[in-house]
Amino acid sequence: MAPATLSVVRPLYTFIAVWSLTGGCSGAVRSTDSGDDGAGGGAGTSEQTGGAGSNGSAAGPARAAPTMLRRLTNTEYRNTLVALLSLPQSPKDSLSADPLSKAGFDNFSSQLTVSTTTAAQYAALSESLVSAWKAPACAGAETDCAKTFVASFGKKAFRRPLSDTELQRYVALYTDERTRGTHAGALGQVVETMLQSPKFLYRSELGNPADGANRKLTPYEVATALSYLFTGSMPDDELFAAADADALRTPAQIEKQARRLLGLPSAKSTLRGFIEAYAGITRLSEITKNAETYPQFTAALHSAMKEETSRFIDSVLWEGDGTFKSLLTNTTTFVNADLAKFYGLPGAADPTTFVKATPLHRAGLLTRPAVLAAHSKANESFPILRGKFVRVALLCQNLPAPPKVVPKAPEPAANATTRERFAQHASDPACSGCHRLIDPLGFGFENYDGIGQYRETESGKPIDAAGVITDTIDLDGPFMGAVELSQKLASSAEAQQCFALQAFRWMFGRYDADDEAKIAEAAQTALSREGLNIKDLFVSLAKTDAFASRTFE
Amino acid sequence: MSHALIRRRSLMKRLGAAGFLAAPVFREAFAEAAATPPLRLILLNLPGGIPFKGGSEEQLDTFFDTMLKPFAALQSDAFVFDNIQNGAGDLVSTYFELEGHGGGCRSIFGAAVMDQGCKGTASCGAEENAYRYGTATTIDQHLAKAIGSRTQFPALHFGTLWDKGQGGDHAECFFNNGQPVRPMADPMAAFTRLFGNKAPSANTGSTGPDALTVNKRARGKSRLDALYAEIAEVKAIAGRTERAKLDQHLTALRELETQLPAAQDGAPVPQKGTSCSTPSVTAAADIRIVSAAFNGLAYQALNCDLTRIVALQWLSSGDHLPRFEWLGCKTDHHTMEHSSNGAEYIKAQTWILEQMAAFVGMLKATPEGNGNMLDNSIVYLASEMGNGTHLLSPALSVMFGKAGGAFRPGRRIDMGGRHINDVLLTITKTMGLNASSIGDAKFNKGVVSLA
Repeated sequence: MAPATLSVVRPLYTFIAVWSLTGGCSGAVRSTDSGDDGAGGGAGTSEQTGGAGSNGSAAGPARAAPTMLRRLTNTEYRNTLVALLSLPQSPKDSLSADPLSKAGFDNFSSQLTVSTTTAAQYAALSESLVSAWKAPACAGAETDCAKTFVASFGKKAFRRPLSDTELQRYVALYTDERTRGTHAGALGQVVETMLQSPKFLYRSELGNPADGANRKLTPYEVATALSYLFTGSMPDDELFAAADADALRTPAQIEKQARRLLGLPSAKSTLRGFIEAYAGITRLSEITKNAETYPQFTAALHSAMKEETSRFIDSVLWEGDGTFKSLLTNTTTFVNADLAKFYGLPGAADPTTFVKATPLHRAGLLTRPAVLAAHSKANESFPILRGKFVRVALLCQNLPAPPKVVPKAPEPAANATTRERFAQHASDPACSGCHRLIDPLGFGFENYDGIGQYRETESGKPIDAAGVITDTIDLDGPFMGAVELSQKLASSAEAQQCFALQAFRWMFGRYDADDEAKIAEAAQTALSREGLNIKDLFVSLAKTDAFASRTFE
Repeated sequence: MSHALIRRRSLMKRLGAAGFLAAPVFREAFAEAAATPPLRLILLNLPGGIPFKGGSEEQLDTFFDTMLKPFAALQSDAFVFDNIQNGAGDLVSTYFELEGHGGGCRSIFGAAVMDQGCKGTASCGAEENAYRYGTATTIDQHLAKAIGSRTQFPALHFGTLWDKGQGGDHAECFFNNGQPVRPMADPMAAFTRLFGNKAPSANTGSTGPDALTVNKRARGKSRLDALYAEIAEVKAIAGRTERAKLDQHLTALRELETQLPAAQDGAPVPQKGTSCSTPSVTAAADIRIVSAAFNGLAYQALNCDLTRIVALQWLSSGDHLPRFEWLGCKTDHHTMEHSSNGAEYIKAQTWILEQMAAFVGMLKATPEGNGNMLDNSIVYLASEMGNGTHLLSPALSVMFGKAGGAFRPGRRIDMGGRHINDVLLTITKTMGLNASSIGDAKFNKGVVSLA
């Protein structure tokens, strides 16, 4: 089976050109990025792509992603330590949180660096782990044991066999430390150093330097990329064996491993991590709400919302048909006592047991309380955030930053609904340029308050959850409420393509407006072909040429 | 002081400690060096500006009666820099017309904008692509390179909830060669890094390390040498972007090396203050507790002479999370910044300024030499914004301290539109680094007379 061809791409670029022509948002609407990858050159614009929608200038094969060193995210780092050192559980640490990209992802390569603080944290954790680590016993000559250990442990730590230079370096390190302490202590010095090596901390996607500018990832780099993509951790024995045998070249070989990895328990939490990033809830635990406005938002309810969302995502991906459509429309969720009360459901009385439920007025990810609460303010629903979330995260459209001077947002009032308070955005020409793209979308979520609780009235007045979508390829028109919006999004090629684009960004840990639209188009085609199955989408992405191709710059 | 200490070290290397101390003239030099307190730089940053009305206030009292009220007790120790410009920030906003924060706090601490990434159009895609900082280095890092080797930590950065505000690229204030130097965000981790699990030892002079210390240093040095070699190997085959990343990694490791226990006589001798002790730190996410912990850590890091360069950052530019509900504020900080000096904005900024005032007050309350720690310090407070109208200028910044006698504070300095770079240049030269400009040279006219 030939790899997917990455050569087309119209809808996204067409959209950009159309939108720019409308001049809707002060003429400042830009390309589709929501990105943060400062590493790249100037991002493409509708002007720069020369009106690609009509003349096809963006056609042609996508330029491969640049070579990268991707520092392990905290999650990947912890998972890798568990696998490498056979730890019974994830180590306790005080790692600084990984920075979030504006796309909501914590794995963007350009943002993952090693600062003095990070280096000190790695050093402290390595020292602590090694102090509890048990060195393998040595039955023969210590130096021979050390050489064997360096080669075997080093291959796992660096996710490839060590070079002769590296072998010599680490054996010399062992020998030097052995002059001051025990054999086990000297092996500990090797481990402690490897755990702080750039070859451990960064996933190499450099390819073979001998190939010049156009590179292919080495078999070990492919094994590593596959492993972190699907399991968030280092390659297992089978992947190492495949890399050793150079059996990760063809799409069929890649697919075989990808599907095997998807069967591992760790794939669940990894793909869930992507969906959470897509939904903008990576830092869900940091949400705070005004206790006066929302006294019911207790720590227990907050925790239950997180658990519910995890279970919902897992259920869609692993128990249901795993499709994008189900993700946005599935009505079955999971509740404990706190959530049952929140939803107004009878039954579930146990705060620790979650049971299946089908609460009214809910369908899919967007109507989960955690998602709604994450895209709200501390004391109100704030349709601006919700409308922006749909535009940027679900449709991959970019909105300009607010102007330098922004009038104060209207405060919640006892005699007005949220929608009424924000009516000024439509009437004031200074606001309406951009807010016409945001507010009518956000108003559709008004049946849910700032913590995602369903409501039919606000300030004694009935809620109007009528929304309107404009400036899209295939979604324009009215809708009533978030459930209907979710259904429309689920069937929208534009939303599907955006989902594929977000998957692409997450997979590569980068965004590149020059090329990603082409790749996303191919991915969306794959998504459609695979019946919109999310797991299959990732397998398809892994089978593309782009997955293992890099450009050295 | 510094020159005397440096002379002493180089002479000790040549003569040996015994010979050095035996010579009367050198004993005198040593006594002078030990008696002169070190000069320190503290940078304070808050997002969203210092609330003030603008206009033509000429009386210093006017400032301390209103927006600088938290610093009222420090008025005689303060310079108020009025009508100051942020050229780098303006440049960013020129390159990217929708970037209302002027690139964030990095611009005000000397990070020169090196390149216009999007070639002149406002439609640059991501904000980050509109402008680039290239090899930009902020004032703290310039000075850390120049004088950082005299202490265990060349510079220390503390950030109260700086990294959780979803401010993105704006959050980073400090840069070394184009790479961000991120503050410590966890007080407990910071405590461990600075003080380990023990109280700082008394400054009894250099008596030579014990065997365990020698081994620990040797082990650490051996490990770092291997890591340096590893980085060099990867760098040799990495692309442009990765090389910059590895440079930052290398810089981080080199700083770790400075924290290895001293293994030989002649190493820098810390000039610990008489109040040097282990601060009390509590693990918490509450802004009030984190802020107090970092105040204590920064104060003792200076007092114990672990470093002479400290940055304290509260939140970050464009912080989007609610932080001040306990003050009755319902909105997030960035929304407050857009509120035209709204009541919540004033409350939040005032609270942060009070924490800064508490920190500066600790320095002033600590006797040192013939005065106090503040007399031997330069404390510079600046924000990326002018005030609560979300404008870059006119801006206000404040400095405290006498810089070891070099400055005569208690004055308003009308900058008359000069750029913040001149203040940074003045600080840099006073700290002993003979620079001709800080940041973009075109924004430097020369030092500001503060004597």
